[in-house]
Amino acid sequence: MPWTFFGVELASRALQAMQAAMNTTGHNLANVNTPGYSRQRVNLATTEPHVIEGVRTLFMGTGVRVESIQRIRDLFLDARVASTNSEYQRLDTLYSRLAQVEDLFSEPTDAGLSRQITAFFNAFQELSTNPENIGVRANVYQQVEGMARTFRQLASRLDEMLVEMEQRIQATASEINAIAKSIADLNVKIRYNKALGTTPNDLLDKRTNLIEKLSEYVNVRASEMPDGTVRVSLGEFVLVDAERSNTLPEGIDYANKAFTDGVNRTAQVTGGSVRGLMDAVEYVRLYRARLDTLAGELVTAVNAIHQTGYGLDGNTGYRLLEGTSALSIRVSADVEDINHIAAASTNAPGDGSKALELARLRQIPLAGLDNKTIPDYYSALVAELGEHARSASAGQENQKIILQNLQAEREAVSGVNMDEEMANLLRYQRSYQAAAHLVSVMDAAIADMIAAFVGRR
Amino acid sequence: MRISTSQMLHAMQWAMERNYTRYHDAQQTVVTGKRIQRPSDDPFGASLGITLHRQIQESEQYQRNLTTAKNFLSITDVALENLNDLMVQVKSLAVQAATDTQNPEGRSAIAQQIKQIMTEVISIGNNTTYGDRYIFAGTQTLRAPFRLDGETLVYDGDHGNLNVELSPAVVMSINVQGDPLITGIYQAMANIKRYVETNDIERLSKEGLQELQNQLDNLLRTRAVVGSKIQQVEMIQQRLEKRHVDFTQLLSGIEDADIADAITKLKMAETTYQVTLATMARMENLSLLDFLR
Repeated sequence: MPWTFFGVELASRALQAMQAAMNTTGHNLANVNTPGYSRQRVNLATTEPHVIEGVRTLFMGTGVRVESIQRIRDLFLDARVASTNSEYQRLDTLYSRLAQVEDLFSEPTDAGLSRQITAFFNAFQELSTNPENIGVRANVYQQVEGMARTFRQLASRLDEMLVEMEQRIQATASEINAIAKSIADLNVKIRYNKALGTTPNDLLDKRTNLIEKLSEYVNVRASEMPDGTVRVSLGEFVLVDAERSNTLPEGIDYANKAFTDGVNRTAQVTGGSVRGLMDAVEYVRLYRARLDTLAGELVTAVNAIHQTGYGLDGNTGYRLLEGTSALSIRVSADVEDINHIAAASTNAPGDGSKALELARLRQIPLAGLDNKTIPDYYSALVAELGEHARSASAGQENQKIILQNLQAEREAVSGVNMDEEMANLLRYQRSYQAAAHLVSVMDAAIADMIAAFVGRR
Repeated sequence: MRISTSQMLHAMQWAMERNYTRYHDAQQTVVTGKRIQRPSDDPFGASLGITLHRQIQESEQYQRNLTTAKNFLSITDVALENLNDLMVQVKSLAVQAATDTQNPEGRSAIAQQIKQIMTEVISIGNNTTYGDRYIFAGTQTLRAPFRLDGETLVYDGDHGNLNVELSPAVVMSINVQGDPLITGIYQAMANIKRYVETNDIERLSKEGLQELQNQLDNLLRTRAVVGSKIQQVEMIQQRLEKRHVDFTQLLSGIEDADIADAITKLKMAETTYQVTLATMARMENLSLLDFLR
């Protein structure tokens, strides 16, 4: 037989174990709404048995102990959530930017450039039928100015957007660097705890959350090392390696979609909101270039006709438009006097044939516009924008569904179920009560024993 | 399958967000009546829409061009009719003067009348305007085309055409130049007047009347041309109006929502959203906590 207080000690161990189990249940319940929290489970095990040597060796149970507190997590699911999240964030960011571009173009509404271009040509049609009329000439001037202004506004809004997006990429890069630093710090703590033989569950959750945050910005791959640290890389670029974190190169290579220092450090970005922004920058630059081409060709083609015509003052060679791009297109100072607007092919006030020639320019395919007419080139640009936005929007919706399914799957494994925890709590509470009762029974037995001895004296 | 508490809440939240977005989109469609709010709703439809909008806008301009052409031609037609009347008057005066019974006084009175009519011819040439444009001046529309240099009528206009585009690639010249039409008429009348004044009955009844008849024929041909142009303009006008209606219908087919369908969808989205909210409210009550104790 073991020592006198064996039973009391056994019961107190049970009390401790049940208390730990109840505390963990409480921890789970408290974190039911904490994002990224993984539920924890108390793994109970029997303590070392007491060996009673005799004719036959007996093993006597000594009670229960807490073997470990385990974090319930599926690491494979984590990796899939991260990569899906990267793709979702890329498309979501791209779509929201392209939707902004759509708003800027304001097609198909009366505020769009399309109406302005048509109004411009219509004004020349009207002028061709009334070349001497000052009111008609004033209207031509208004329409030319209105069209040029719309070009400039659209171009400068797109430019503002480009600047803003580039700043956003830089800001996100700093945030990525900060997160990488935090992960490296956590690596150190986790490695230390691992070495001591404990599992720092909440630190692990925190680290997983940070890696997931990174995956919103860029495509990252995280691999766990035997010492408990993670190695996080962005393409070939290592962001975090054990206690060390590397800052991203500062340059941005939009053509190759990478952060680079231009020498040997390059981080290729294939996902996340950063890639979404890089894609958006590329698209917006494309639209911007198209708009420049359109404006430039318009100025050249219009002036080529206009300069050969005659104003009401009998002079020729006046330019109607100036500028070479969507940002610089404006009404030429030559026609500030509206009598200088050239409607005639000869020096005759009633001749509207030059205005007619100008009005018919809209039907002529131009080599500089890929052999498209001016209105067609523009509507092709809008259709292209619409197609880009539509495909980003569809992709974003698909990725969102996949992401939600994966997150649900992960929640099913790691999430806290309140009812389940309540049931556990009930179970542990009852065990605790039983162990407490055991203590009082043992106490009574020992008291009886003492009373027996004392009573004999 | 194990379901966590927050998973259920998340699922409900997602469902609520999604259903609310659908509800909002359906509402947007009904309120605006437009199927395409932005190019990405239907890139092909949007680009077709832009083209149709442009064609409608252009056809409105063509309508204005047609109105201008028609008015211009009608004014020309009226002027030519007046010229015709004047010529008929001169012709009957010439025939009257050519009869042997006329005495010199009578012929002188006839010459006076012809002179009066000739002034009226100049007046028609110089006072027929469309707005402030002289319609018989070619493209020199800002100055009166005729002036007298002694006995001869000088034409200050030119022989340019006023061209108007009536529909894509259909261009019509809408003016009749004052020379040689009006100058010719004036010259013929001047000759007759001279023959009457000089009592040259022989040349009056032969060359004079013949030339006048030639000019009259010429005028008739011109009037026929103007008349057929007016008809042509009216035809194009009708065709364009029909095209305008077609374009508008096409555009409506592309851009506008089917309202009955849109309202049905709105009703469905509304019901779904209500069900989601009701489910959410009921879910709140289900917890083991409520059954313990």
